[in-house]
Amino acid sequence: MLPLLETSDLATRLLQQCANGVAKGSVYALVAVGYTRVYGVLQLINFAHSDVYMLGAYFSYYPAKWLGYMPEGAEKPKVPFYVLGLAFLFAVSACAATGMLIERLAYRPLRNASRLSALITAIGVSILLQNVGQMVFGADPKSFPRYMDQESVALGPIAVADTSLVIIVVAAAMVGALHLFVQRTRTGAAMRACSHDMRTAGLMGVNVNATVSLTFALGSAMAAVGGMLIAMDQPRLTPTMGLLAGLKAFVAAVLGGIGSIPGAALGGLLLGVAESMVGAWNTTYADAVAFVVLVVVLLVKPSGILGKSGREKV
Amino acid sequence: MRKALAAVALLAVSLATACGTKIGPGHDDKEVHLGLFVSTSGEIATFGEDTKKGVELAVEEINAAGGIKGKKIKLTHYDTASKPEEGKAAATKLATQDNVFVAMGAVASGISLAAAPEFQKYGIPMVSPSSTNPTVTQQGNYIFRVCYLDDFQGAACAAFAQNDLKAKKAAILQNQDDAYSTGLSDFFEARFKKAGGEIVAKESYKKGTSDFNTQVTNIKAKSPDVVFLPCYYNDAALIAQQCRAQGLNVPLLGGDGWESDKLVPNAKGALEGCYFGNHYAEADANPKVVAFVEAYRKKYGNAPSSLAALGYDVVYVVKKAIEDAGEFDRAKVRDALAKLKGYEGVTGKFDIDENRDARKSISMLKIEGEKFRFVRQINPSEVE
Amino acid sequence: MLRALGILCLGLAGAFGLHLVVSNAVPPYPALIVNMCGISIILAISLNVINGLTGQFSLGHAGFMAIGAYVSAYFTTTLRYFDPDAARYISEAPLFDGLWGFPPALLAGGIAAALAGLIVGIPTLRLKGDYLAIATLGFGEIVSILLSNFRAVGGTKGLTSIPGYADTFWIYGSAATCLILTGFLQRSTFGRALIAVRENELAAEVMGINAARMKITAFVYGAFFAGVAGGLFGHLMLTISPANFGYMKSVEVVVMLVLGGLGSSTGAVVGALILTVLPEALRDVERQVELSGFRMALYALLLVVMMLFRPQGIFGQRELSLKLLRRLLPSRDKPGRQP
Repeated sequence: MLPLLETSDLATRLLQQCANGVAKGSVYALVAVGYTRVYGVLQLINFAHSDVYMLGAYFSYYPAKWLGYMPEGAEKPKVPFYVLGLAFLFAVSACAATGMLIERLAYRPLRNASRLSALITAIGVSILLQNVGQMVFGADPKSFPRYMDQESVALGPIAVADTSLVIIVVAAAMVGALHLFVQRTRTGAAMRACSHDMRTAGLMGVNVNATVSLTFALGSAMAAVGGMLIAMDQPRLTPTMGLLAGLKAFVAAVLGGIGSIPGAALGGLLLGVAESMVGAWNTTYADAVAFVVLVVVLLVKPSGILGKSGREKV
Repeated sequence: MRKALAAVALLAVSLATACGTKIGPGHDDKEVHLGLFVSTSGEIATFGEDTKKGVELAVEEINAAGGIKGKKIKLTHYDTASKPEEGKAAATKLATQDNVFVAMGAVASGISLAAAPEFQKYGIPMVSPSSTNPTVTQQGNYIFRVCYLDDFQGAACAAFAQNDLKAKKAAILQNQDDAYSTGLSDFFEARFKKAGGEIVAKESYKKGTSDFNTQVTNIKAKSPDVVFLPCYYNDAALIAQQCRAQGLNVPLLGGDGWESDKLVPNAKGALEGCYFGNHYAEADANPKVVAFVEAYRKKYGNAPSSLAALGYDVVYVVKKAIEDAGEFDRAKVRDALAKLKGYEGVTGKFDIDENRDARKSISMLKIEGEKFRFVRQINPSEVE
Repeated sequence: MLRALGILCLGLAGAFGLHLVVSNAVPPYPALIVNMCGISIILAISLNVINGLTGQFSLGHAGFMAIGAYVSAYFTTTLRYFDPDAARYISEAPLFDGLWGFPPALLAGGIAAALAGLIVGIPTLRLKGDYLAIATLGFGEIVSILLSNFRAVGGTKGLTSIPGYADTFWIYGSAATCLILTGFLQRSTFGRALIAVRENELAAEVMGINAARMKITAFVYGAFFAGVAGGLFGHLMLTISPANFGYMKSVEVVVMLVLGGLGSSTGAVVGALILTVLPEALRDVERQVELSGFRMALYALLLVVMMLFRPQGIFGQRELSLKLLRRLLPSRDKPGRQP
């Protein structure tokens, strides 16, 4: 019986790694949908997206702090539910406004310029947000209010944090809702029209500026939710917390086929599980192997897993 | 055309006569000019900011008390943006344009290494608060530091794990992008193996990681007696929580990077009963430390981290060296620094050894509730 | 050919002249900035061949730079590292000792990077635009992870005590060589073929241009000079570590390029100059304000404003040349000479 026990031990370990990967992947997916949405409409890699995610985490930190739920040097009290709601609303609306503002000031004037100029302003806005964030919030890492108690939930032989479960559920729900919104509503149709051909969409009576603004508002709101949820799970806020998350989410979005919402979710999950599975063997090279996997997938499907392969017109 | 050529020639000649870099004295009747270069933006801004706060507090105190030998300190700080090339530029500027008397910095060894040759070239003493890589002070006889070296601290932690925690199997979780982390990890591993222990897992993560579950699962599968976490407090708190969430309940062990009043609150109890090495043993006992913590808290609203304490000490070490030298002369201050013995700072009592490194003992502390309880002191001679 | 050699010699002579001026008459701090500008110029021009002329979107330039830096420093530096298995320090003498070892070491760095360019170039032939960008970014990250775990070159700590061979002559000699070669390349049929691939790959293939070969050659050429720039960087900074060559470094070079005008070599030079000098020039501003992060925030803001005012970059796709200057300046002599 002993060998069997050992194999089941290994199986448990792999199962646990799989769960780790799904939790990690859901985080990537949450951030990746924002990238993919903006890309779908503007063909712009919105480098500042990961910094809006950072702002989301900070914006959901401050309401609880202002209301006295982050006392200095004492045990943090549990935050009541209405404060959570308040923080959520504040973070979502503030981030949506920030996203729209960024689009209005930094991207709209460049809409007819080359895509690369817009990319450079996006990088500029990203560095700007990080440093303004540091000037306003400070460079020291901040903990997070006790919106939710982090506890370990046993699922059969494996253990998952309840916050991870919340992330998985919310990520799935949000991606589903966004997908339905884009596919089934009139506004969603306007978005799709803009991503197909902005000029023609305008001629057809779509308010292009409003649609693009809305896209940014939606993407930024989702980044805010992502920032808040991830801060609950991994409570450490820094002005540069968006760097790695943004890079991974961007990779996930491309892996799934940039522009596609289900693709972003799938890309995120795949990247997360791949990292964990490789990590089960060796964590030193996990990231390197994840990138190799990415390149191989792209070589087989050059426009990502669910991406549309645009045929070149002559 | 001919006129233009003549003008160029004239310019070249006039420039050439201005050649030969002369470094100003770095002090006048009223002021002594000190330079600081740490990263206050970019990825390691957190640590640079802490250091800068400690330095500024010390400068403020010294100036309020009449300065160094009657001269007020003028502090010039340049950001190094977490990049070695900016560190070199900042160092060159401090040395040749601002002509600082003594330079202080940087946090990251990579940046200190880029900067050190510049100060060495012009004979300006440089004291690093927290660059732990052994090669930093090997750059020249004007380069000093006041923090531990990786080899001592890593070995001390290993000796503590073996002798005090009776650990036979240890696991390591290191930040593979951080030289402080990999340095401690390497020396811990070497010492632990040498004394007959076994490293059952050596896991790595990239900087900025906040999800350590994959690594924790791997470590748990090897059931170690102790997990060594050579990282800063912000990572330690997150890792500890994720270890506990997966049911890995062995003691965790860390170095001076853990020191912060945010460590325990951020870890939410996950670090209860864990150990780390630190500069000072009992914060409450030493009046110097109490006064420092009090002043720091009053100025910035939170307790200092080890980086802030090291920054604070650097300024006082420089003051002491100038006073010992007896006059404002860089070479004499250098000699005074090299001869510094038994200096009592807020980060403990230390000597400067023949390698211009601080030689100080490490105090192993146990986390109990909100308090750090002193367990025992490890002297450099014990692990050599 | 003779003319090319002549211009090249002129460029090297210019670099030597600059070296004399900088080493004798310029204070160390501006001299360092001048040298850093030279390295940025090589990086920007070489990336321009890949991104600007051939129209590929590479985000892996820091990876090539890292390979060049490590390989060249590997040859010139005494390697000293700690081996935890043997529990002792290990020291290895440099392969090429002395200043005469520097040019071969630099060349070796360039060749190693060019080989990497070949390896990256081939699989990425199928990829376009942002997908290519991600694949090259992945390459850069892989290089950085491998170097972090390669003990003989110091792992995360990197290499230290690299001899300071890179002076203004070597840096600007390389920059001039890179600029002049690229200038000739741009005007040759080969350069035209690259541009044809950028403008329309399919049409170029119809015209008999082997697009795949063009793209790979562009990668190899760009990677070679990025490797040389890396070698110079290491011998100027005297210490390198994998952290120097993160993906933000690649992004920085792309920013230089787009700011100067994508596709213009002289634009790349100007972009490199601006973005290298700007953070240094803002030091004194931050000193006045005494607010951490202010300098980089201002830097970012200026970048955004510059892009908003001139989205096509400072030079667009044009080159700064004597002809252009003559046209811009009011011509005084021979007004009737217009062709």
